[in-house]
Amino acid sequence: MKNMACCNFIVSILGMMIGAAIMMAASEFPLEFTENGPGPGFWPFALGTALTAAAVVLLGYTFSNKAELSKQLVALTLPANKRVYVMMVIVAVYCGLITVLGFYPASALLIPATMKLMDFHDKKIIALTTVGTIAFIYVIFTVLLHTQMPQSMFLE
Amino acid sequence: MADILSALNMIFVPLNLLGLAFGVAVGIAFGCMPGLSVNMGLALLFPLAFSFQGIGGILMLLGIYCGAIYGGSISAILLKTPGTPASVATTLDGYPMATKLKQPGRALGISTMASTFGGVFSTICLILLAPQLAKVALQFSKPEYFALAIFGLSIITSVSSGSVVKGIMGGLFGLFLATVGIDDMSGSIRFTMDTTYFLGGVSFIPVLIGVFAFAQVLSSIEDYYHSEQAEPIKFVDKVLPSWADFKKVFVTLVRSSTIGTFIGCVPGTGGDIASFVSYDQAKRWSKNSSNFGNGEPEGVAAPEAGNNAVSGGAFIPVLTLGIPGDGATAIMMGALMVQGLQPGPLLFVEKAPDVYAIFIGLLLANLIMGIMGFSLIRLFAKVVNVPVHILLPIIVMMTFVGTYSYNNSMNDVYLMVASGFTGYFLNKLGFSMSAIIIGIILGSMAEQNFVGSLIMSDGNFNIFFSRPICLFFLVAAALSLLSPVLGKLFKKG
Repeated sequence: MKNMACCNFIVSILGMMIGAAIMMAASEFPLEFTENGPGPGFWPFALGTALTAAAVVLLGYTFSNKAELSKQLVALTLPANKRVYVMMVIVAVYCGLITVLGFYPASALLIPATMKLMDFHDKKIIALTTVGTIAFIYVIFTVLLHTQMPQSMFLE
Repeated sequence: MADILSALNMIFVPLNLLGLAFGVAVGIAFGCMPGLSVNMGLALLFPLAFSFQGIGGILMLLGIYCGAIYGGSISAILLKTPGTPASVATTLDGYPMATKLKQPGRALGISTMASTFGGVFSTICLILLAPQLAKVALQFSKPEYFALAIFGLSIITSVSSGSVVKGIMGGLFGLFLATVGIDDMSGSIRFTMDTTYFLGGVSFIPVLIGVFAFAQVLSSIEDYYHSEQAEPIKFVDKVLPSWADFKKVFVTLVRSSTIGTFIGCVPGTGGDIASFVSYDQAKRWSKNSSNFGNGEPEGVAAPEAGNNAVSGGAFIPVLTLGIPGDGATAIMMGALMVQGLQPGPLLFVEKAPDVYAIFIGLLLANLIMGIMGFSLIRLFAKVVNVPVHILLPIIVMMTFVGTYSYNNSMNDVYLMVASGFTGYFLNKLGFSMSAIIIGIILGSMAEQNFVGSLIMSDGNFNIFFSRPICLFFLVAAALSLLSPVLGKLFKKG
């Protein structure tokens, strides 16, 4: 568990960094006014400035309300969160597997993996859900809508 | 009249009607399953909408929008778990009526009747009011549109987010994302990281599916860790409301529908606020106020009429001014823009048949919702029972398929996943996803009108403060952003 004050502090710093990065990137474009109005960098530069200012305000707000914000807990390291992080890893692996194995074989692995992650182990239901979902996607998207789903890199 | 006939020709095509009915059914299913939201349903089926020709896809999304708001009441009544935040107030009397009084069918019947009444009432208001407001808005020029975009964004960030500053940060980030790609005014290529993928801008659909659907799935996986699915009520008796019930709740229906329509018009509010205000007013005016909380029919009708009436009201600023009131209407506005329908007063002049098609579509969606509610309620009551461990993997798959099928692009999938991961953490930190999405949607409008205004005034910023309507919206925006500080000052005073 982290408290909101700590999270706000990190968010403020990140906000200032992103705001500054936007300002720097925008300053590579013309900022000055011409007969065609402000240059293409003006608006994003203004947004970057406003984002940085908002991050500074958040930082100030966090310091002035530190005691109150410290009582607000943000769940980030509980077992339930760890389950989400495992899901994120599974999804990242799935994205890679789509390219290697193709969409349908990779999906046939993703669905059981997700169900197992959720502490569900009935093999019959897992198999039915996997086959049913993939068949549904195949009929709707591949057959009816003619969507060419990603194929294995070895087949292309 | 010719426009209305053209609109009817557009709608009464079998495929379009099927799409509308499909949308309502899917919307009800999404609404009644706790953990799935209106935004998620709209985001997931957004790419599918473009498989339809013409207005068909928009009709399907309208169906989802109306159906999902109503669907939330089914699980609220049967499980005491509202499917959407807009149905929280429905649990107060709906669940006691279903359990203590053992009349689940009566509760579902009253909620269906109230939802349909509220939806139809607000659509009629939309039909009557939107063209009048559009006539006024036709006099707006670039400074007014810029001020409107800022007003829309400010009021949403100040209301929808837990923290106003975080809401502003989200909105600003959304506005920045809208600058990526080729600048419409100067033709410059901005912030594309030297990839061709971002030349056309940050693709709206993957971000939408990522923050509204995929991030929600991740949150649901977290919530599922400790939760146990409640035992639902298995037997649903007669659902058609009696004449006595109709007479008893009629005044409440009219009052709550009016409240819901008015609240729907205000950007940044929504069904949850409308339902609680409607419930509170119903209790205040009722002869049976002491029975509220124990299964009072007016207590079921008020929140449902109120939250469904939001649907028509919320379309008034979207269609006339191009200002979405919440995440769901932002998605709807995005769909209209992708279809080449730029919301705003000119839409009423240039694409009048499409506007009438939207009006009639919304009306039909509410009527179909009522018919489905009364005839298929037992089926939808079963949908409530679908276990989360089966539902979530299917939704995960749909986020991938929906994203990929839009452009046949794996880059879109990577963007969706990245948006989902980011959205999960931002949600936990109290950021409003709606503010980011509305920032993306309004970004182009804000920048183009900002630049256009300065061209009009030869670079003089006074143009924003010398025009009364523009000044009004800018002052209103500033007040809405400062409202938490002003509120504290008033309390101290």
